[in-house]
Amino acid sequence: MKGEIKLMERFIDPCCDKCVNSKIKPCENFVECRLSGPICHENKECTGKRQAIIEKYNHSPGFFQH
Amino acid sequence: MYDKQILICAGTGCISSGALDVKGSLEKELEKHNLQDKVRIILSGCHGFCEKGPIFIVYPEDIFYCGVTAEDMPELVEEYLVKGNIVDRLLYKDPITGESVTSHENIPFYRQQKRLVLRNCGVIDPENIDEYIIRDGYSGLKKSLQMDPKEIIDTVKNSGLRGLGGAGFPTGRKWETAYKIESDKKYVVCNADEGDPGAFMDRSVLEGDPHSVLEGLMIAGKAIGSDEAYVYVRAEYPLAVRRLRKAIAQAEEYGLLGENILNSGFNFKVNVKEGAGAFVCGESTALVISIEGKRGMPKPLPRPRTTEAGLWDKPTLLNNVKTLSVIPQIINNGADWFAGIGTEKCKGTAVFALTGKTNCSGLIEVPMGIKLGKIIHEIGGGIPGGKKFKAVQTGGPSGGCLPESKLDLAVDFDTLLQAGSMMGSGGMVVLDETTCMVDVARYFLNFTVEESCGQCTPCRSGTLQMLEILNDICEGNGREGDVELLLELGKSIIDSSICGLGKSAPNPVLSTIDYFRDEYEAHIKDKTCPALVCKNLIIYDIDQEACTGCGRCRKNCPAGAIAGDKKEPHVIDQEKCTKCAICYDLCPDRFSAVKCLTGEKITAMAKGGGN
Repeated sequence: MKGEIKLMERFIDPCCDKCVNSKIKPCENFVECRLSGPICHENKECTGKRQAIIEKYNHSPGFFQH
Repeated sequence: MYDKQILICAGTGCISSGALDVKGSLEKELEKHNLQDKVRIILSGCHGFCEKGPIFIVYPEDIFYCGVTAEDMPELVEEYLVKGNIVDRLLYKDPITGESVTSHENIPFYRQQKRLVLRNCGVIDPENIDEYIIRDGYSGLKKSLQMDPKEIIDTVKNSGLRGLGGAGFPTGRKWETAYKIESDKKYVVCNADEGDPGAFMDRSVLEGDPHSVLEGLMIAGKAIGSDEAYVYVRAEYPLAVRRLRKAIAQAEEYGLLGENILNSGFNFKVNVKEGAGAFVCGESTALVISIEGKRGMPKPLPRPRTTEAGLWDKPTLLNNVKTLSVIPQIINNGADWFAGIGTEKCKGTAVFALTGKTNCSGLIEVPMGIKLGKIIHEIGGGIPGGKKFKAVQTGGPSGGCLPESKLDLAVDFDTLLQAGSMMGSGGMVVLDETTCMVDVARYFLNFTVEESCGQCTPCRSGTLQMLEILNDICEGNGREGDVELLLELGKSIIDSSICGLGKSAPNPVLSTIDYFRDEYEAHIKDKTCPALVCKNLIIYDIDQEACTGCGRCRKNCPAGAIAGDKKEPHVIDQEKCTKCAICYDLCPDRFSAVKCLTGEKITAMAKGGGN
């Protein structure tokens, strides 16, 4: 149901109903958005969802030092 | 969030050593201690140190356990994850000092490396596109979609990247040629037909970081104006094929592959073609023909370049796995960043499968220009068992053998070629004093004879003639003039073969004659194998004064060739002896009564002179 998207388990999942990325209309900022977004709107909760995915996989201090 | 993340290497090598059993056992133990939600297990691609597999690293503290088994899991979980005590017996031990090393970054094997191509191998879960994206994945693609094709090509040209499949042709120039040719259809092909014995660099990249190859293919497609690619990969690499297909499906699901990628209007499709494992299909024209569904054989000269008329006669850009894998980083970080690594003429890094007589073997990546000796003695940890270094064979069966005097050589495409060897796809086999160089040349030539497509006479018959001469020499039937004949045949094959396989096939023979001619002469003139390898030129004998009659050799001789009473010196019946060397290996060091003899020593023994 619209407005009830809670989880963002993978980067492909939308953070909320403002995410317009789809197969038919792909978002040109998809990659940056997943790393430091959202870009099309401002929402701390949506930012947090992306950071949660990043933090989950950040297994070592050197993980981002590439 | 997790307290610990455990990375288990799940490259083909570690899986064959039991990595998946380790994972299964670890899961059970974590559940037993109710830690399943606090500890995340990551199955990564190849970590490189295959000899010590399965590799098991605990993060965030980076505790490097190696050679772990499923049976070790109860102790590891109980002692380390529950109580916090490091399990010393599973840590890496320095081969010289014997000291334990906890962090993988402090292990010399890793410390000297510079990982660009392998930067994600052993770091991320290759089956998880999100982890690749977090490590800047697909950022290079995004950037390239906003660039003019010429701008992309200039970046690659200015980076100085040369093809990492072995030939070292400037990648940017190849891309420029493909870009300039006008055609309604162009293809990009990834050459993953890795066929050198002992080489597994391409396989490891595909298994450990498949998205980097896909991203490289797409950037190449954008640069030359292509919308379709093929990855030609050996069917003998099932794990690489599976992970590649999974990566393609994920990228398609994410809209990073397919139609209108990132709303740019750029479309790109990647196909996977599994090859049947013929070595010759690594040659560009044979590879293209094989993709078309025909028997893979090189096209005879004169022929157009693949960039002009390749797959289905369309312009085709062919790059190796490693070359494509490093492209996204070059686009992301810029040409100057890449050009700042390596030497003046060879930029970036080289990936080698370091094997043979070294203390540490596996997959390594080093900056171009590193000294050959540094790779062998520092990264490889030197020669085991106190033996002497003899030679290093680089470039696979088309490469050559370099002696100790070349250890100061700065490794890159050009210096190796000048020294009589080649970079090739990256095989590096270290040989010690117990290796017969004639036998080594014979081994590699036998491979190329088997793999010759048979299309041209010099390669089909010439290499066979060379092999027969080498067989004669190793069997004690060498004749005066054989070395000169080998040199002449080798030159003719190089001059007249139609493809790179034939033109490079004599290399192992020519380079060993160049640097180890005395060994050839010893086999031919003195009927001696100085390394004590060639069976027809050696015998095993028991020193009557040293033998105490312990009976180990007699009891274990599979041919029943050893006789002797208890506590009395034993003797070997030369008629029955098969020269398996079991007696030689089993005789206790404190006696060393079993001797291996060659040449004059055999003659002396026959005359009753003993040893």
